[in-house]
Amino acid sequence: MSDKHKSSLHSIVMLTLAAALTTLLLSGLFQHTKPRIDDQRQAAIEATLSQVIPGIEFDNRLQRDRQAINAPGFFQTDQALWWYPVRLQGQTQAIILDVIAPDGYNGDIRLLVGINRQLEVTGVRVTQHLETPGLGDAIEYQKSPWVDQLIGRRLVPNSNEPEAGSQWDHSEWAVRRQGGDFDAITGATVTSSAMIAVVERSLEYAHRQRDRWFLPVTQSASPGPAMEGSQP
Amino acid sequence: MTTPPPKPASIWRQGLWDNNPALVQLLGLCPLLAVSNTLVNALGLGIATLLTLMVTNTLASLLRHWLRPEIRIAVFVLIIAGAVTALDLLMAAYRFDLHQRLGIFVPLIVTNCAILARAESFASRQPVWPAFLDGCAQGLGFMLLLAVLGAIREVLGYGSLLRQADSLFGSVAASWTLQFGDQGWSFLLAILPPGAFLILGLLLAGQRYWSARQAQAKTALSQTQGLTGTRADTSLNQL
Repeated sequence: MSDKHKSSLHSIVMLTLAAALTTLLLSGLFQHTKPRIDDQRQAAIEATLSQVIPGIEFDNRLQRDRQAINAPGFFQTDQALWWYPVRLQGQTQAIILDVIAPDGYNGDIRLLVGINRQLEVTGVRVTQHLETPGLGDAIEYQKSPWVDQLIGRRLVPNSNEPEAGSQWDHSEWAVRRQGGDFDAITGATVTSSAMIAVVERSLEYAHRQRDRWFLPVTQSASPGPAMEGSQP
Repeated sequence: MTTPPPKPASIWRQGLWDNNPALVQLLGLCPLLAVSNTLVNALGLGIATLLTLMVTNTLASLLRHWLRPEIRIAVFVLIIAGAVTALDLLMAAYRFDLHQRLGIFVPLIVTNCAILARAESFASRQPVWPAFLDGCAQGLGFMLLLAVLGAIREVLGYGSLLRQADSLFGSVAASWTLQFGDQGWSFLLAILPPGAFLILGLLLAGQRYWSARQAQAKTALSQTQGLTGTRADTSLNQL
């Protein structure tokens, strides 16, 4: 009987020791690698951010100046969306929207949309998606330059009487097969349409926010204090 | 316990060919099929698995006298999970791009039953050095098959070899990519999972055919053929 007790005690001690030791080692390693992993993650985000605004100079720290998009329902998602002001000497040169296309073939597609002062698209990069490998994943820039056809695009004002509802002519913002002006990814029309729609929606949103976003900082419109800190 | 440990040559032969974890034992097929779409991805996961096996086999052997049977597997699982977590952290810190692309499959090395199988069936009964060698041999065997599968799928699927090599080997490797066809070439079947199954099936068939022929060559020993037969049967049972 006592032998049996001894043996199970031994097992408990061994198992606890092993667990404690593993935990200790791993937490040490975690502390050690954390700053490096955080740096890498930041650098990766920063690199993607600057890819959607090629050729635009800025001197603010994009990630620190990030702000929430507060437009419930507009992007048809309940996830947190963001926008980044891209500033040079306090003047907003462009903005980057971090938004979601909720209607991808396999759910949400998260992407960055760069928009300049003329409210033209300067670049698009997908940061997260679950589209089919080999088909819909051509929205990734590493796989295909498909997203580049969105560069330079802008909203087309509705030439008919604006009373028809929208201020904008949406017919161009669709894939060719549906009468639009964009190439679809072969075999991934749903994915393509979702991407085109969310970029158009981003432009529409930028038009609505134009005065607020592109106002010079010196006039201290709304988000004043956040900017003071961004100047080192 | 009293049987002497196998000779290094036999350990290597077992790991690389006769008892290759992926080709003969058919273990760890999930990561094998999922991340073998390019050679670099395959090598990345292969190296991670190899390192894990080296660490876990060594530790399992070191601890073999202290562990009672009833907690042995629990401790092995702990060791494997710990080693894989450490690897995952290090990879995120030093090979961030590759880590991003392998995604969930690095943590999932924990569930590769080849690793627990080696710790339990080999390392826990052998001295440290043979156990370590076995980890190397089995890991290398797994990695090589993964690499072959990755290379075939990449050549067929993308018409290239070693694309995105810089994410594994550093920026020196940025120019290593070999492009055989058009830049835009893409053969879907090879990139998608069905292609992985088909190509792995062909590789398995090739291995069986080769082994059978080797066995036939040794006509003098009529028993050999029987042995090959039973080995193929056991590996099928493990499916």
